[in-house]
Amino acid sequence: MVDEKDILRKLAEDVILCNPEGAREDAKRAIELGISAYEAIDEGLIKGMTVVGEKYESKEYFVPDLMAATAALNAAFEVLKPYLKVERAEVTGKVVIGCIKGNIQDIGKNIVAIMLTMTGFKVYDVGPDVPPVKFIDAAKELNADIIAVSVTMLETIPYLRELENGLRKAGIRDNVKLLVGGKALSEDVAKDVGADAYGKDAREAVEKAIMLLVNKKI
Amino acid sequence: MNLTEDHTSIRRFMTAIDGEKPDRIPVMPQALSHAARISGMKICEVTANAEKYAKAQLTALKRYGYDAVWSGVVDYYNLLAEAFGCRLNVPEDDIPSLIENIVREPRDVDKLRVPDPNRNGRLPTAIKNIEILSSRVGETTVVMGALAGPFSVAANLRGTTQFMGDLWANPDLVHKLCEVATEACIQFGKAQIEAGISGLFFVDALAAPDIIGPKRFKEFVLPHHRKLINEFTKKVSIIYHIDVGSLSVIDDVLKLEINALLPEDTEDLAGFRQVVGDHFALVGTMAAGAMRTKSPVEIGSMCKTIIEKGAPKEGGAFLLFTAILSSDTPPENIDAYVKAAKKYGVYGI
Repeated sequence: MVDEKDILRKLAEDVILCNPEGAREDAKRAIELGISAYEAIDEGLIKGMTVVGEKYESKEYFVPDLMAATAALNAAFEVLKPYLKVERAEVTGKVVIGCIKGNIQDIGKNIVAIMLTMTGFKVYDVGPDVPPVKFIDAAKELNADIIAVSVTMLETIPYLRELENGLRKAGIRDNVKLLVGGKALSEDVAKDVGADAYGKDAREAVEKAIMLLVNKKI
Repeated sequence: MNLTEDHTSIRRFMTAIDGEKPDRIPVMPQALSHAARISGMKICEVTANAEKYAKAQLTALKRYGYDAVWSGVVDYYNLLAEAFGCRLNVPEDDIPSLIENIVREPRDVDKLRVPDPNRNGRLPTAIKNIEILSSRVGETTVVMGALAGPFSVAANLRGTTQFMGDLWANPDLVHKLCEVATEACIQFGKAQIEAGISGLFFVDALAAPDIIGPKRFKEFVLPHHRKLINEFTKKVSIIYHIDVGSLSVIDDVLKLEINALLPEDTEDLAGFRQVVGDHFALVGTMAAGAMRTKSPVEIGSMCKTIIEKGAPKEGGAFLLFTAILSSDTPPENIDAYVKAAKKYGVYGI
């Protein structure tokens, strides 16, 4: 008899072992067992992705492994997404999220994207290694409230400045808030590049996104 | 000790590449789009015009007094994928970028045809540019060719994200793509050699062991690198660029018939020097971001540190590059880099 804990553990394993088919099936079984989508994501998928991140840091996993793990995570997430009930009715913002050009490690970005979705944001993931202009084009096209950018490589910080300048040049800087995070950044660097907020981890990024949205609407 | 510059740039380069001691360290910043900018041209004017690009290179050579012109085009890393048929976006005053991946489905790999360097994309432009530069300054100055490696070309054909996913999900496709890309690299490399390059900068950025892991590097990258480098051996000096963490595969890389290594990070240089010994050429480099944002004083000091870490104590067997400079790199920073190389890199002969 498979219980709740087993399924959550299996979901985490599916992500760690980069098994999209297993992740999809286990997500379905989690729902059948009455596990909430939030719990399946929090206690299964994100826990698995955290282990993947640790393996990446210790050089056991590399970029192709991250991408395969992300594919497994996304496969399960697609099953769970329709079961997410938005509890914060006031959170109805649109976020364009991605890793700026030169950054292909997107674990943190993926986790933030999922947590923003769970919070009620409409999230448009433009992916890893994205030039500033693509963020701007997506924000214009979608009429986004927030652009959330992950930066893990120090030498790519100039692209953040380029993005901030680009938003000004495009005349949408007042309408679009810039939220940044990632291991190459700090609160000071975020201020220096003209960002509106910095999230030191996924949870803080989501909190800051909510604050940005609330302040924007006041 | 003679502190004047006794060697021509080409002799200085060849001496250093051979692991010996020239009059000073050759310094060869990658001023590509930057060369157009300081020549008063828009980048789009030189992207497909061999004459104008050569003119920009010669203007920059004269302006900075360094040792090499960089032949080809401003975005040499796009050339082969474009020649295979990937569409290119050419902004008015910025670097062209690929906007299409032509291997959308695995079966598309069978439709790929190895590009002809005399016909496809901007390969003929690059070849013509080499011929122009070689005839005008090749006797005294290094005419550096550049070649993107097969793993990176294959990733461009397929799309980087998809290609990285294929390493897990469809390794056979990765092998197939790398095989056809290797053949393209061989043809284009041979054409560059025939056109008159003095050295070939071989860079396969995405293949770095730190990105894909040492095991995959040995399986998916090394055999192709070995095959194509064997084609160029003794025909041209090959400077091989591998990224951080590459010490994990250094023994395998040193078995390739290459003439010099360029480690990505200054921090790695001392470790590489220890491994390769004092008579194998290493290349130190500066990040484009630093060249763009640091002060000239900082650049001079960083250049000194690179030399201290990478050059053997007895001198020689060392060269200085930069990463591809952004077009708006302050000219005074390039001046500072070249000046520091000439100050701290003098051996006296």
